[in-house]
Amino acid sequence: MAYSDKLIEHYENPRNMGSLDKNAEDVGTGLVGAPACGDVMKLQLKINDDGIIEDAKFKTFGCGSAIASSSLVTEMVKGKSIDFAEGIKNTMIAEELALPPVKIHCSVLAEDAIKAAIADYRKKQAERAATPSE
Amino acid sequence: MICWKCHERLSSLRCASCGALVPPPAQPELFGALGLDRRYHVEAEAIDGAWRRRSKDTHPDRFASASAVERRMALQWTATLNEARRVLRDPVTRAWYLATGKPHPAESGGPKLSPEFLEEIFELRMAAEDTPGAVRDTAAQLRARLDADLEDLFSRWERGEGDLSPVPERLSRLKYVDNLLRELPA
Repeated sequence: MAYSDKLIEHYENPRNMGSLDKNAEDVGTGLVGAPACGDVMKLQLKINDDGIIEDAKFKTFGCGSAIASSSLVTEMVKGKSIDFAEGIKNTMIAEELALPPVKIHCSVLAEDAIKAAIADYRKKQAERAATPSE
Repeated sequence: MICWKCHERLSSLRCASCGALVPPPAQPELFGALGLDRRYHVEAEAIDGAWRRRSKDTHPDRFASASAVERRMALQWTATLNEARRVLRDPVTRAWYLATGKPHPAESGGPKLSPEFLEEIFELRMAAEDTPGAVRDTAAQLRARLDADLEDLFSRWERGEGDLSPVPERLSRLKYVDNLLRELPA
């Protein structure tokens, strides 16, 4: 099977690999898995008060397509708004990397990870708003 | 069952009287295709034996001079029997098949695993580079517990107790643990 140059490039030189402080108030963490292949993907977003994603990090244990999908998606959201990040569809990732049909689920995983990270951030913000400041 | 061609009573896939083949089922039940009971506890040798017996009856070479319809039926039987053997021989695909009717989960979706479990797998993955020995021990324990769990679920189901609805979730966990074990540095 032939993989695209872009996919191989992201796999060999993944962008934004690493982690952020998962306990920080301005960091949302998404941890998702794909039961079919047993891959795990952790994606973290650091979001400022204006709703802009200042930093994005990921760590993925899985196949090359899963690593490339998560690398690409961190690059896509950095410097963008939460709303933009929420609108990302797996098809955008799959197209950009020219994923073969059997690897489409890797892009679904990346979309799920972004959504989970944003949901975690929102939950933290809601908790902060509910806690009276001293 | 009687032969579709000569109406003789059948004792195998091939009529002893006229040599006609039983039409292959359109949506075959894989245990049934091999003439086996639907059970998790089945020896690989029993599957191989059933496959060999039935393959002998349906081998396309035996129908080289038969009608086009029967040659096609023989080919289809061969494909069905090979698939049945492949899926049922491996305990994991056999378990998926018994629980869901499919040999593996869908590409995306599948059972939702608890965040705690994913967290545990992720932490083990992170620790794998520094302490592969300890991670291997933990993963092997996880594997043993899942095996015992599946063993229990299927044993009870074979006695007519309980159902197989918890099986997909267990099998999904198994996949994560097996991947981890396979990719641990030696």
